[in-house]
Amino acid sequence: MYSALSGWVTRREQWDRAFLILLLPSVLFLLFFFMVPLLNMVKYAFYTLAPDRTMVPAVSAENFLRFFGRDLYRKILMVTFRIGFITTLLALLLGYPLAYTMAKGKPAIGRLISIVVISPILVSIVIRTYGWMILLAPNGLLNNALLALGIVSAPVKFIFNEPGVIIGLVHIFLPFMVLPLYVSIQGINPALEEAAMVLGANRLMVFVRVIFPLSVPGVVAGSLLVFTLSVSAYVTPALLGGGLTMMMGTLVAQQILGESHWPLGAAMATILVVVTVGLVLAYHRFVEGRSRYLSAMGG
Amino acid sequence: MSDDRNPPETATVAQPAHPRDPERGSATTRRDFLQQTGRVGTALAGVAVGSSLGFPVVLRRAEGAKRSITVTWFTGAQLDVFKKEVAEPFEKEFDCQVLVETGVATEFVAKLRAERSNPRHTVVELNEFHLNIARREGLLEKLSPDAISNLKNVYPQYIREDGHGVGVSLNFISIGYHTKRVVPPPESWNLLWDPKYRGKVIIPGRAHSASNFLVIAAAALQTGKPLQEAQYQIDAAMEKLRGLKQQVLNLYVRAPLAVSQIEQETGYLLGGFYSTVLYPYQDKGVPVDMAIPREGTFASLNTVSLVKGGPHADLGMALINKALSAEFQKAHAERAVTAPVIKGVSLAEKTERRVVYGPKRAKEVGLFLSDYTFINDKSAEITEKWDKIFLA
Repeated sequence: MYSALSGWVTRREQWDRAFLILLLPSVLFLLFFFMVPLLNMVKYAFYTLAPDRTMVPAVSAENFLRFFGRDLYRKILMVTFRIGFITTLLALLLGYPLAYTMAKGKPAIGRLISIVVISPILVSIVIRTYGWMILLAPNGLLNNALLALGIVSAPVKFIFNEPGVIIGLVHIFLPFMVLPLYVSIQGINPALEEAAMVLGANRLMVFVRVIFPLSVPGVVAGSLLVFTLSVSAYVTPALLGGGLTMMMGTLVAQQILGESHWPLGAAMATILVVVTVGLVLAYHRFVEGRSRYLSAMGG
Repeated sequence: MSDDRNPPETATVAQPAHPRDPERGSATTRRDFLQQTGRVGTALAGVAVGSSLGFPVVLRRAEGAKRSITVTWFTGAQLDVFKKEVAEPFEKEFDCQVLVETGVATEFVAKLRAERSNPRHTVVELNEFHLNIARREGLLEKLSPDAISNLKNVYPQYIREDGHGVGVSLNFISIGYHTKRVVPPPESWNLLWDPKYRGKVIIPGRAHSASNFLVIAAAALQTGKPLQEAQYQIDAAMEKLRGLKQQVLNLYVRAPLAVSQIEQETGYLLGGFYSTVLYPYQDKGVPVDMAIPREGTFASLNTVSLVKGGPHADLGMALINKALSAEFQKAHAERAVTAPVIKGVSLAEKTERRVVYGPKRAKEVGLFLSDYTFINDKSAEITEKWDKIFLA
């Protein structure tokens, strides 16, 4: 008995060791290519800039004070999170029906939708953004169609503003909403839907009381992905914002690449990371509480 | 050069694949794998921690190979010309290797800063804004006319920053325009403010040095002073730029994309644009041209410098000398539509018309060389005021 238990413990230890070895490459990768640059960025955020534009190692809150002391920078932070929130909401509204149809609809239609949703990922973000610039330009396809149909009398400004950035971001990040939702909805046991219908629930009630609460993990995963990707986006806001709508990513690039002010750029990036993580945690907590409430109501 | 009598330092004495058991050949045991992984892991972690703490981490190349120098150069047509007319013949002539890194000036300066204590680059191409920054940060060597004989052929105004950089190609910045939609051609920078072109004006983003020239042009229009005096009037410039906002379609991030916007007639005017970028599109049949406004045009000089303490400085100076040769200067002018910086180069008629070559032509187009020290010192202030206008 003792030797059997001891053998089991040894095997368990061996397995743990093998697991640790398998884990080592990814830990090293994250340590070297994520944690070290991240810590460097936070370190630089507290540095100051000498008149000759070299960084001076220091522990100074100067860059943070400068950021929060300027209306312009605070406004850009607000615009960034507003765009991130609207993009996430639109991606959820557009993505849920797609994911639902992929998971519960006819297999042929599901396959077709998955190809349509996933295939844009194969094309570079820059190319897709250029495509939007051509489609949405004042003399682009959409405006020409609206003018030809008499819907508008003058071209509508779809790009080089906030709506333009949101349109581009929703298109680019939609697959990141649809795929977690699809996995979540597909994993719902069909017997639960049948049981609800046997007990008298109509299709709408089944969706509200059964499907949606059970798909909340997918909603959370998709929302977090789209939100974090949107608020940190650079290429799409830079091109579709046309320099007239700026997000934090473009502001950080401006400070680091344009002004060579690495400490201020690092402070801005640190603020973006901290506020984003805070919002993500708050959202997580809110949705978890909501989910428990909905489950309790359903049960 | 190495032979069997004098093996290079990297050569090792032949060893069996597995010293403890030669019959096992190159098979790797689990223990070997774990030991090696552990060593690599420890080394990487050491490098990671070391670099995060600010200790320099040096990865040395094997010695004994032929000498090599690392050079930074801007991309586009000029890179092809540099590789074919300078780098490749230079490698043969000096039996060395020229490693060319491409990118933008900000990136080049960032690299020089990062490797200040142990430079890896020998020659760096910059624009005037970044040449000024790099010189003031002490990242560059002063160029020696004794070692770079072609320096004596360079127009004196193109030897910059007290001899720490020399022009290698010159293009000018002015208003680019759609030749069919903007008739007659722009005669003043003030055309950008003409209500007739509302929503059709594309201007450079702050990442482009051309945005500084638009600021100077705006100051000249607001104050009525020549560019030389107006360049110091930032507040006047901002006052004028405030009126430009309603005219602007967008601020361009990538210059070629801005030309395609003109081609598609999304915009008609490029308020502050590079002649070297625009003219190749004209050759492809796009109806665009560069204007010569009466207030003047701006010189955009690409420069080359020797990195302070960079490896094989002798090769670096020889390379700069070759870049200042009449052959390269002519090839660069004809193929990248830039003006030579040395005297005595004969150009094709078409090229001569499109570039600002020589003092006479510079006077005709009012070519202006800005005070880069002032602009760099005020850059953060200009950016903040600029953003307040265009992001409002």
